[in-house]
Amino acid sequence: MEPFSYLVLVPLISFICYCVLLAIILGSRKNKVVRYYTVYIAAMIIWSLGSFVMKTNFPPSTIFWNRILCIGLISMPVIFYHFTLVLTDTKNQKINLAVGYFLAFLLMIGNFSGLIMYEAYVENNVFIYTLGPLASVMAIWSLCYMFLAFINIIQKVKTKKIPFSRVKFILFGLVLVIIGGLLNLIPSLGKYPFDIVLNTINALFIAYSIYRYRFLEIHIIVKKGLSYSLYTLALTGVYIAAILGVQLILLRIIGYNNTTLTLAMAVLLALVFQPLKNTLQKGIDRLFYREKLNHQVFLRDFSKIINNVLDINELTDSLLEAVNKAIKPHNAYLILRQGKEAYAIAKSSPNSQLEEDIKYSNNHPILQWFNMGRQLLTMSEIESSSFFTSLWSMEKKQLRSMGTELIVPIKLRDQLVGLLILSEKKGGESYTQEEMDLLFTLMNNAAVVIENAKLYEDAKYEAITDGLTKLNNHRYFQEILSKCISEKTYDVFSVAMIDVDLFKLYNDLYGHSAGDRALIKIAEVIKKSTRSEDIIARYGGEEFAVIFPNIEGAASLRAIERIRRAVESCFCSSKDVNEFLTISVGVASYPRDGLTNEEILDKADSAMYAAKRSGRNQSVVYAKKDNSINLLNNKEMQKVQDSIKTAYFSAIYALAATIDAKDHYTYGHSENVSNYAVALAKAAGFDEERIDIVKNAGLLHDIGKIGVPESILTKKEALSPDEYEVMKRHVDMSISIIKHVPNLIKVIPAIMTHHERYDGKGYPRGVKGENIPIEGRCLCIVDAFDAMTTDRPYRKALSYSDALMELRKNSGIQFDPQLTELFISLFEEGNITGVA
Amino acid sequence: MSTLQEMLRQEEYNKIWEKYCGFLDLSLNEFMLIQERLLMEQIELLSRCKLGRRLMGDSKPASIEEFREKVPLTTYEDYADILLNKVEDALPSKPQYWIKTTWKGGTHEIKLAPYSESMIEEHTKAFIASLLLATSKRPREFSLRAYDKFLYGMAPLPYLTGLAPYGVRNEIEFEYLPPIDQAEGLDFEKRNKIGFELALNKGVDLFFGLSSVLVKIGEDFARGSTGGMSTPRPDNLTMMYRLLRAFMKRKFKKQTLLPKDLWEIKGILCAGTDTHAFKEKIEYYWGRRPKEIYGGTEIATVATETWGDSGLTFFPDVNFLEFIPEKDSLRSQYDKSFIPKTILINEIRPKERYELVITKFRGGAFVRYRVGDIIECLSLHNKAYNISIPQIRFVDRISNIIDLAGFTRITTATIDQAVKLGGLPVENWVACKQYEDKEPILHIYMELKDEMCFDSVKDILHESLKESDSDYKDIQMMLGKDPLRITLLPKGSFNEYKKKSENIITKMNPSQQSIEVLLDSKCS
Repeated sequence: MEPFSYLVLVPLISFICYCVLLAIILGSRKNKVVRYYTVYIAAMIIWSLGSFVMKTNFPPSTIFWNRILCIGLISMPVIFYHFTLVLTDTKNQKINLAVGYFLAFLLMIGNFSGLIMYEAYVENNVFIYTLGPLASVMAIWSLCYMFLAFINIIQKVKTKKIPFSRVKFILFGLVLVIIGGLLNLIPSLGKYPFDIVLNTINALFIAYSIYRYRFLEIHIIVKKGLSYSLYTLALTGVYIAAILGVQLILLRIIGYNNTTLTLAMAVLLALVFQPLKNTLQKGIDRLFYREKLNHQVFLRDFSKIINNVLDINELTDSLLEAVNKAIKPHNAYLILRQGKEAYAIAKSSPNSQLEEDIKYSNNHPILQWFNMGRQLLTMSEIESSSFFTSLWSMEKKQLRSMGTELIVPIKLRDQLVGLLILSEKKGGESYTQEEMDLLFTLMNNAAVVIENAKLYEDAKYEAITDGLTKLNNHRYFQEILSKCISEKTYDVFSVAMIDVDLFKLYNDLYGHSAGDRALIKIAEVIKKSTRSEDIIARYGGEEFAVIFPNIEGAASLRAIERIRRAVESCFCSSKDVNEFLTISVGVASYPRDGLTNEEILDKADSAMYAAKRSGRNQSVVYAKKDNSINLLNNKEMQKVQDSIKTAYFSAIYALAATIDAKDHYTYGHSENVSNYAVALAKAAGFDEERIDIVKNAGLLHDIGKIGVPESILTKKEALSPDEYEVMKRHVDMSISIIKHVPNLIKVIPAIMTHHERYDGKGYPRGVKGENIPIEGRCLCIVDAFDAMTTDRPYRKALSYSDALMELRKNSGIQFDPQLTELFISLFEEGNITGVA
Repeated sequence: MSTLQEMLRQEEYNKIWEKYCGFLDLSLNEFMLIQERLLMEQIELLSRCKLGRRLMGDSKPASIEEFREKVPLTTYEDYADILLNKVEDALPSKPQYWIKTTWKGGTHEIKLAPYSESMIEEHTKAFIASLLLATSKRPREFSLRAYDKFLYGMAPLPYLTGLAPYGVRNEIEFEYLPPIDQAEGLDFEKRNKIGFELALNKGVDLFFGLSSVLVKIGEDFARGSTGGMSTPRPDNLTMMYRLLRAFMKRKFKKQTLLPKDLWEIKGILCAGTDTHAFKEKIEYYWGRRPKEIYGGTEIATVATETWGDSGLTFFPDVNFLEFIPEKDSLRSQYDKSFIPKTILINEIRPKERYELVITKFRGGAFVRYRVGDIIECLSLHNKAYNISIPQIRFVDRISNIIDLAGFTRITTATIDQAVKLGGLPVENWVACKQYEDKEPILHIYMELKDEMCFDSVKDILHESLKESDSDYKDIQMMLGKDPLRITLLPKGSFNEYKKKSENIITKMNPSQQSIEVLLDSKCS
């Protein structure tokens, strides 16, 4: 038979294809599926080898090679059937399988007994054969097992035990094989080698399927080696064919073969083939390394883009875009370091759906994995490695819901800057080594730029953020406010000014660290009680400011009232003695109250001062006519004030009754102190509210004594240092009680400081001079005076003149000199008389 | 995520081992880190639900120390209102299954425990790890495969032992004997009987059940009785050969037939209080030493046995583990005002016994829960197999409960009820668990008000116990054994004891020394 006949060439090409496939499989990781596939390929190699050699008239004989062919032909269907059972994990067809192998065994015997092929030979380049009686049996049997394989796969797909996408190529291949088998039954078509061609296509389909769905992991070295082998093989084939062709032409032209001429032609052809070889190599490089070339282009483009970007948002967008383009995952997520102790999601693909934010702390197992120097992490490793046992169920669930398949670290030197989380690729294939290399390089390149962008971002953040409260700072607030006005961002908006009441006193009493902590807490409360679109800033010292977009008037009052109440309830519900702070809030609106920054802020400020003036812990909205009024109408206002007053007085008297129940003497003293204090306050020109404060503070200043043991309260002898310490605690205890009654918060400063001395040697905080609130200084004088002029368990009462002398003696030391003088003059002028 | 079956198909044996049994390679420090991190997740979940807030208060503990300091130890009474009424909204995570058990000595007849999706996932993982270990002779070499024939001798759902097949089926397919859906409609005896009949026909690769049942079947075989099983009809060549070989051995060689002559089991997994006592017998009858698994309704699978009889190893990711030293545990039973302190797994010491306290991970309900089990630390590691986690043994229930072969739990109330039911004139009694020929028995020491014949007292009490406790009845029915022993004490024995001893004798499981003093009182 002619060497270039299709009847010889087709099995030869099939044989080469199968050999290449076998080489690939031998270079890959083995598992059950791959092993059965290997056996199937071996059968096909035997078939194609037999078919090819048989037609070349190679010794020992054509019939010998035909029987070799039949070994492959007989074993292929049952081996292929077995392979599909393994692939689909089918266990209930053992009988079919056993019968198949048994029949194959019988057919093998028939083959060597000449019952399948009676005789076969090549004569005048024509292949002549006579079929034996079992040939048709073999053909039908062979088709049956192909059908069985087909039905089994279809059933698995129907019962959803295996997805169609996973076996579709195998099914297509099977259809081709069955068609090839059926064609053999038609004599006019059976003489052409359709069956072997279609079987070869089937083998290639299967190879692709098991590679794509990860049954076959081809090592990169094998892949590269195979690519070069194929290229060399193809080139050599063409070269030899060319020489043979030239030889044939020479033979026809000159009628004989000349070795010298042939050699000369070979050298000439080799010279011609050199540029052809180079062109081919380039073509093959493009064909086999297109991925790599594309990756290089992506890297180059990405580097160009990112080197000019400092904005972290733009940068992360570009990075994800590059990843999406180059790798084509369903979803990609970027997690970046936020501060020193946490990593959080920075960006995700547009079509991703994250139910909850990702936040990983430094001890998170995934971060630790990369900090140990590992390069990549797959979901499969997370699911199977005991290193990730400590992963929270909710974290695992989240990674699964993200479709996570691969995690790539973004590292700058040894520092983990972030992570790139990738889901499965759109095509469903696994990530190749080239892609992983690309991702690794991409992330390494990105790390430096991300870090720079983050530094820039941090600097920008620092510049506009208040270091203590992490709110916007004054400068940024002014900028935003100007922008809102100049760009007319909102048709209307309101600006609130918030001032913390008695904050200076708070700082003096508890120190600046406590003051800072209180400011942080207030900032938190303001953040929680505002909307996400509101812009909050620390305006200065103890002042905060808020821009409320799209609201004005009553709505803005409701907004600031919400903040005021939140602060009040947060601090008053605390069990801490020192948490009694409240805020006064004023609000003005654009464009109604002003058209410039200054105008609006001035109006909001004056509303805030109106709140202060009307007793602190108030919310006031700016109104033009009478400077500032609360927007509640007069009737409502009156109603609210009445109910407050009622609650207020019931609270005071309930507390006073508590003191009375404990010790009648204390109650009498409290009433005296209250009366003296009111007289002194009036003389000192206090307004009505302050007079009220000293009155109530006088009644309640010793309320904390209900927590002091009676043995100490009524002790006749001098108190021991320990007992004195217990006694001193009554001030804090008074505050603890009073702070839970919102209406009484105003009396706290007076009560808290009534044992403070003008020279700073008092208790509980040692506040000095004018730093002591004036109400406290008042109480201090009248409390001491009443204590001196009434009987005590440990001594008799002093006369009024002696007591006044004592006051004068300690004026400027223990007592405020001006108020002391005033009190003495009131007594001396008879404006105050002693109490019984 | 690849299932176990897929990994087996791809022959990824190392990956399988790492996934399920990788915890055996952890250092104690790594074990503690896992415990700590998972506890923080549980605290987070608890802080979001009513039950959590009830137990932990409003402030969320920020560390293990704070958690142990602030959260009190609990018992089932603390959960009864929520769990028995299945108030799902009050729980840290939504339950998929409610697992049931009896509550002997409790305020209700049953206890219910919720199992969330994550808990089932962990429980399945732990169960598969135990199966891998049961089929392995050394690390990383196991013979478990898909479609293994699995003789599953445990109670079906809603009991915990019935949960495993439901989780396992997502990972791997086994051929259960009998099939799970059929088994659910059968009682315990019938299920085991049908299972063994099928095993005679098909063969068996895996067994999970009570060790006492395996011993009973072995004894029946040795006696030549197959407990009324139908004639075997082998459905494969291996079983045909084995049955033929067994027949020859018995008929012609006149040798005793043992289960190991019929079946070559890959792995035996046993649960139940007295498994350690039955191990040698099982190995003799079945040709394979069983591996023990320790768990419970409220705590799921807690620990599993490895190799070399060195004890069980705790799973790090199922429960947060705390331990009360035995003497403190005992004191707290009699002095209700005493609140015992717990220690952690890195603080337990060899040869010491502890009461187990657990906090369920993965959204479980139980927090610092006193399980009522006593464990013993055998050693701090298993050197031969490089396991650096303490090796423990499940000793028994706490002393006020007597657990017999995993079948029943006898309490003071059970015996009092039986005495009342039988109308016995009992002055006083104490009961304890003892072992006879390595098998557990219930020994009751009784003082009667009136004279009665020993045999009739024994019969009446035995019958009354059977009537009042159906689980007790199962022991005799299933194992064919009478677990009751009676010693009648002369009149005045308990009074005599009081005079002699300063300690009050406890009703259940008094110390051996107390029993001896009581018996001495009898003699004097």
